[in-house]
Amino acid sequence: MPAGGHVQSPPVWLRRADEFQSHAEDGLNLIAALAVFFLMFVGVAQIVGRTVFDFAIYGYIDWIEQSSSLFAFLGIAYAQRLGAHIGMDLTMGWRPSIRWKVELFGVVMAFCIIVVLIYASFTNFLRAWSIGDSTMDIRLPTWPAKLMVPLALSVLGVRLVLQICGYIRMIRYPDAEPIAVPKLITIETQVKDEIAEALGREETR
Amino acid sequence: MIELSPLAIGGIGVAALLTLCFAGVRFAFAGAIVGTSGLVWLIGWDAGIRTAGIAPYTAGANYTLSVLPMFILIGYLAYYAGITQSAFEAARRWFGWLPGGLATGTVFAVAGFSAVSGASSAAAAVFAKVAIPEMLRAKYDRRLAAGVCAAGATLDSLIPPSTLLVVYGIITEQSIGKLLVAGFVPGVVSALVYSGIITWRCWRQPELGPRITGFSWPQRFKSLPSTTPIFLVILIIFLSMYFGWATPTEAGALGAFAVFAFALNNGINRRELRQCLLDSAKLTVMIFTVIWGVLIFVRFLGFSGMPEEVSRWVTGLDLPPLAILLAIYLLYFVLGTVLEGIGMFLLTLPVVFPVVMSLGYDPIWFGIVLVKLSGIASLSPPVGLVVFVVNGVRPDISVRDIFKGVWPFIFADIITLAVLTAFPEIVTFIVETAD
Repeated sequence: MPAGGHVQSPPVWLRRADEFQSHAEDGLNLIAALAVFFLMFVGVAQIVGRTVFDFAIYGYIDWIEQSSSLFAFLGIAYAQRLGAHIGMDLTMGWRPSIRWKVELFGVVMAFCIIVVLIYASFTNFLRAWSIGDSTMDIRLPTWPAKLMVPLALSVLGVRLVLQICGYIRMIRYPDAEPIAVPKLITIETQVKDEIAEALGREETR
Repeated sequence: MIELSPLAIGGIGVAALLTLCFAGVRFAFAGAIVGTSGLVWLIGWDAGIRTAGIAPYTAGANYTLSVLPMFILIGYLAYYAGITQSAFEAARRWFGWLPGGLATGTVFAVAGFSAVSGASSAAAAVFAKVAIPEMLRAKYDRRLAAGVCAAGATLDSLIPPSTLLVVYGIITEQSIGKLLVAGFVPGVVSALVYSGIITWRCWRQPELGPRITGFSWPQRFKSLPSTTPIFLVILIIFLSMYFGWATPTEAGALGAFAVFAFALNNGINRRELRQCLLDSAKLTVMIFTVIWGVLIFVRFLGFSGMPEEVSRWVTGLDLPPLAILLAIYLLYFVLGTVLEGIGMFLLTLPVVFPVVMSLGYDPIWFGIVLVKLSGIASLSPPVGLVVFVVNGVRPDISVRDIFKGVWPFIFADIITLAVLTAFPEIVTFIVETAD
């Protein structure tokens, strides 16, 4: 129980917004996942085609480069939701009350730069759009891939806003059930997760 | 505004980046914040914002980087290809007759699996579960049994496919193919050194690890086919790089396809495949994000001219290059005990790499020793995640005992590193003979 003596009932709007956003993120990550799967087949087709049939996919490198933005960007908010982006985690052993504040600082900083980068990458897209920029080899237009960047970053921006709300709520009501924030990881839970994940896969065999 | 030299601005940038990272900001965002601010400071708002805004697309729409999702996919599919149990079984039949043969077998099996799966802690968990009970049943020393699972799992980063080597190649703009070829021999040599140590120790003290005999040659050969995915993936990538048959992405795709075929044969279902792909996409986007975030920072450093200045200063020092190199080793060893490899490389290489090049060392060789070094560091106290993972699977073997079991291997690795430093040809000769 917090010092104030009352338990905070979970705000419905935050939960709803988190669920809605999570659906969008799952969808985008699924597209990224399918792009990875597809890349595997294209790579095999290219290598088999070239060595066995002396045939190469037309504009192979250009196609791969442009479609790479699917897996390079679309999952970015999904990874943020799961707290997966690479960082230092020096505060693992600290009290949750301090860790919520550290996490809040991290997401506020991230939000500030993402807003700037949404603008910066959108202007990059606009330039490509207005001058009709295209790839070197088969002259594919580059604007769709360039548009992917501000699009994915905008979804990330929304996720960061939700996390800012979530962390502020946790700082105000430390005993409340966490919503819209990744769970706090300690070295024990990290080890446990690693094992559960590895052995979980292993045991299904 | 106060007039500062670009060098001073670069220095402030490095300090700001480290401060933000220590304060818990994710590396990608810290790199982007400092890089963008620094660019705006040095070249003005318009040009600065434009440079920063181009970076994500440059990293994302890049053919070289498309190898990453392929290597990652190989790793996630590897769990479903039915490799672990059969790799251990084959290793047992082939190496059991040696003193400490089960432990030697475990080293090869865990190294092979962690190379293919690309995740040392996961490999340590799986083999702690598969191999430790077998070794204890055969009356092996507990520390040795736990130590080989932890230590063997860190051999993944040199043997192809290695994501860490790809990241090194990207940040230092070196040939990914050459790096993958160059890592092969030191990776295999490290595994052989581990097995040498086990054999020697168990030969001197047979009670540590008794021999397991009684397997016939037909039994041995019968155990081989099920380990095919491991050999296949390593060989596909190594040989296609060595002979220049395919680009790293194509070789990665072929490797992934091979493991996928084995996973299908082993009965992977749709839900599992979907999870594999989602996990691959997640890890892929994590690595791409940190790459473009740091790329913005690298652009800023480039404008500041700071890396060149630092290199000039270091080469002007009245110290032999080897002394500076050893200081760099020490830095990476300390950093590596608390940071995992990819983040550590991306944060430090923009400054450290030009320094090492100005000392006249080979860029491919440096990549290999650095990856080796981060492997050693990931095994060492105080963090040593793999050790904690082994302890998590086998709580009956204390962390202290596992660290004790791991020490001989850390010691062996330091010797391997010294040999690689004294004779860089061990790394470079194979690259020179490759197409």
